[in-house]
Amino acid sequence: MEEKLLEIKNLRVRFVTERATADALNGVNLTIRKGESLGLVGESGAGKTTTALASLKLLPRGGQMLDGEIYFKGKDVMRMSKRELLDMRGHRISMIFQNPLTSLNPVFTVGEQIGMVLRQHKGLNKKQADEEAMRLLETVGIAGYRLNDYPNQFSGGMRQRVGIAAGIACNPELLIADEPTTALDVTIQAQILELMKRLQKEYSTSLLMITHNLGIISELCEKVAVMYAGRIIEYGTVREVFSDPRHPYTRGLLGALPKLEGDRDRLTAIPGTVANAQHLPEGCRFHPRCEHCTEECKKQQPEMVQVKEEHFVECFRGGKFDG
Amino acid sequence: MYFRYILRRLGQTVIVLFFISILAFALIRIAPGNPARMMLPDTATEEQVHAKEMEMGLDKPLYIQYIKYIGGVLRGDLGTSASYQTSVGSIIADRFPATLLLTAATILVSLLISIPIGIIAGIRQGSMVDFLAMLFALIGQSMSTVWLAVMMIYIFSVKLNLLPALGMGGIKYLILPAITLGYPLAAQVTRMGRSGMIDVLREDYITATLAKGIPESRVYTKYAFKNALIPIVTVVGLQVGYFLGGAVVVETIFSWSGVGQLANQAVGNRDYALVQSLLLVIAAGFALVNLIVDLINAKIDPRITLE
Amino acid sequence: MTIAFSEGLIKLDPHDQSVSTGITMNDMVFDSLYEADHEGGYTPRLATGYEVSEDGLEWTIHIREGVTFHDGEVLNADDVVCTFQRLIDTPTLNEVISYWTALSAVEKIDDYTVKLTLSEPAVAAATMGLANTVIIPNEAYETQGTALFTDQIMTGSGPWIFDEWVDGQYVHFTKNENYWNGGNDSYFDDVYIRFVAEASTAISAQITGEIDGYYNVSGIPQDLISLYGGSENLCELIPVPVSAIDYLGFQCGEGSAFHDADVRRAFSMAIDRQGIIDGLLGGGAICPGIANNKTLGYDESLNGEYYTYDPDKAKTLLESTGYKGEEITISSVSAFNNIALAICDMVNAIGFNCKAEVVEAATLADIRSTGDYDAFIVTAFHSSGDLYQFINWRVTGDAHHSDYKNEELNNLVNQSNQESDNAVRDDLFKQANAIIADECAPMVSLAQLENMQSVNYGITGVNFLGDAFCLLKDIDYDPSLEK
Repeated sequence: MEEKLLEIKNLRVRFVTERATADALNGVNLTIRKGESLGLVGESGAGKTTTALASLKLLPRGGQMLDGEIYFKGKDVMRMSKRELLDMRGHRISMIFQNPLTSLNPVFTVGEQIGMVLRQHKGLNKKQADEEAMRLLETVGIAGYRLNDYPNQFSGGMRQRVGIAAGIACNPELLIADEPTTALDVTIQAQILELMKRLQKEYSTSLLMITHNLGIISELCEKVAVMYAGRIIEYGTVREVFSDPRHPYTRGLLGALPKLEGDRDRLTAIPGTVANAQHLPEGCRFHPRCEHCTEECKKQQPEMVQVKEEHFVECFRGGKFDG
Repeated sequence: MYFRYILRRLGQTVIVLFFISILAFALIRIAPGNPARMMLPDTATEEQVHAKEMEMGLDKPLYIQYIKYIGGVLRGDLGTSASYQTSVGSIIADRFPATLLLTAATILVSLLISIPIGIIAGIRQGSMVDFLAMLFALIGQSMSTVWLAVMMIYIFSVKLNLLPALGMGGIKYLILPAITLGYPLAAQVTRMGRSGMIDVLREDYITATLAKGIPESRVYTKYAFKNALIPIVTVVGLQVGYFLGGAVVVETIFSWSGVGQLANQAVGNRDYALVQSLLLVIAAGFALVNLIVDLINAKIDPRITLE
Repeated sequence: MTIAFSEGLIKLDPHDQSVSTGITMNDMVFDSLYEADHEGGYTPRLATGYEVSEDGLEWTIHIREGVTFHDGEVLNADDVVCTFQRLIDTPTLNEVISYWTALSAVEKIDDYTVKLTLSEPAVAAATMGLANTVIIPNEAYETQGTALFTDQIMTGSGPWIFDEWVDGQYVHFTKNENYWNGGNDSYFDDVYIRFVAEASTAISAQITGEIDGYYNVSGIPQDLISLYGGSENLCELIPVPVSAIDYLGFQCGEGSAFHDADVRRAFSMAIDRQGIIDGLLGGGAICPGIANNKTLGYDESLNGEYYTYDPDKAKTLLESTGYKGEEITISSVSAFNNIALAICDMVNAIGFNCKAEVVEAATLADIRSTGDYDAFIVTAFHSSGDLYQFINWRVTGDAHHSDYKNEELNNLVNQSNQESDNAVRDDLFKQANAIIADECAPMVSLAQLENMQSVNYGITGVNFLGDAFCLLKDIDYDPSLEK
């Protein structure tokens, strides 16, 4: 088996503000190995971005890590020295952020925002960094001479490309992409996807693709983890999970996909609303919305059980409902 | 792009100044009081007052007085002061440097202290530094300038005998007035720096920058600082404009012969020419400062010129 | 040595001075033909004597020999002629308006004799003018004109030489060791008069030694005197009774509440003057009418019936008039507001309906020129201990349009104008003052002022005058007087 790059064990994160307390992550277990591409899927508020930020020790104000461990290449991230942490960020693990309109600093050029990574981690001087930044821009499909333009001179899609360029600049071992196409329209999405596929092939970087778009996962990822209310409730290869979803939630997600061809059945809507992190239900977090809910489900938190060789699910019934 | 922006702003400034000249002309004449009478002892007869009026050109119709005045200004002649009997231009030229000096010293002192304090308070929100910084700001905004001025003199001049109470000359004469004038500004800038910094640090692009492995110190001093500076520059610009108008209270208490004291006197004496030209010069100064502030802002934040 | 003055110079022109600092400067840098003691007496200075014609129109003046200006030029009739010709040519100068409106011609008789011709026998004015008008050098003036004053190159003949004026900051004089009247052997080589508008700053500066004395035209404010606490061995506090009065002027015309003399009398009797003196002014004296103990016309035995505080009597008197509670406004600048408010309280207690209004100096000048007021409060000085200016301009000349007319009063004053014997004038003034006090018109005085000034021990020759000027001509230093 390939080396474990990122290993998250039983991560619990709570956000405390004057108004409320939200249990965002309630025992997340996740592993990404070298060369792997994992899709992390779930609705907004499930805890996906929080997981990513926690791995980089960049939880925002008010976020507390209550329990759990995060290891990068065997090293405990929470115990790393400042130098090790800075070396990890932007160099060994890179993150591409969700909203291209807000994730670039408006008063610095795109060249500067790509170059800063190169100067920090590769020790390049300004001239060298500029040259390399230009090359990176070309790689993501932006004209190199736009090095000294400002973010607001680019469209959303192009800004995201700039983000990607900065993300791959130092050839990271793990690339975390947090909903990189959500803020873009469909045609641009396709372009970005193409770009990422190409880079995947060229750079052989591990990928953690955070998204709620199942189509993207099937295009880019081998493995998928489904997140609900701060826990991974199903995990396996994309092929397995998508063809044979076991968890009622996953089923609901897949059933909610409109089909372009074939019979058009009614779309399945998952009854109820997303679990509120401030008031999580007892027992299985999904039980209020599950048509197969039992008494046990209401009281006990189910553990992850293996249902196939590369397919795990967190459910007392193991996802076996119809015999 | 930048150059065109400058031209545009210059054009606007000229128009504004033109309207100010009319406003100044009108306002001082609306105030009750006869300048000719003010120049004579209070027992002057009506004939004497009238003779003085004719001498001062005040018997002519208003539009003629205005044309004469503005014509002079365009030729570089700011008029003759009725109270000083010398050219307004030379009086203002004598006094303006003092105000400029005080303004410059005030800005320097107050920014050198308040920008770092405000930024650090924003970074270390909730800490002791933050608390002290906010206390510093609160006191500065609550204090009356007069009280501060008199207290400064009492403590540093009378009790400690460290600094002179009045006069102009070298640096030591500048310290107390600059601190008195600068403290309220420092208070404001501290607050803006702090809240600006807090807002900036919440932005996604700061998290993204940290995620790139840039050390916090550089993020704060370079990448967040520039963004936080924008509202500060604007506020400082407004205040500088105000100072250029001459801070009357401070100038009077410290016997600092600047433009503020002069303006106060001129209005009291109904010295029309002096008041009009002073207002015009001060407005020009204010407009110039605003222009510079806008240009600085455009340099810091390139989004502005592209609008 | 450095002394702080509360008023700053506005210009250097010695004939167009309106601030007391200007008078001080004139006295140091120049000489006038006569010298006044500011209490009614005169001694010759540049002149040795003069004769006046019977009709009072021709004044022949004899000029002293042996006087030189600071630039070495000899002083003679040409300079005197030049000086007075300037006054005739420029009637808007303050000097002319104050003393020489009747001057019509000046003529050189010989090198040391000059004749002035008046258009009317304004004897009192001319006498005071001779002691106030300073002589300027004709050669310098003829070549440079007023540039002498605007370019700061003026020269006089006085014991001090003008060196420099920095507007808003100070004026600087140096000792004239070759002064024609025995040189100048003052201990000080330099005198600086600093202009300090803010009293607390001036006092602080004196305590710390930055300045050696402080002269405030209105007296050092009463509530700031305590700042000198602790420095009693350094700074001497000098109370100066001055021939200045704070007075309240009435609008006496028809239609005004004060048209009726009894209304005015009632108003006056309701004012507790001593209370104001003790509580607000910090010192002073009650003086019925407008004369006070430093001027001509003062009569100690004058019965100031309406100047005696008697609210009951005032109330009764008011009720006997036709006053029906019409609103009255006392207008004054902010410095007098507390006095105005106090008076309102006092008169309202006996039945008036009075309120106080603060106005700017320019506005006050305006309303007084049109008579558009009910009452106002100002300070007035009696120059040189003479009532001449006050009584001619403010009373009979009715400069402030009070519309008060009194034939008998006017006659007395006119007579006094043509008298040269001050004893006779004194008597005439006493009679005039008695009328003013009895009629309570066109104004009533509130108090004779006593100003507080301060100079460091050891410094001598600082002359605080009864008419509230401060002369520094004889400034010197005596270490034995230090504490």
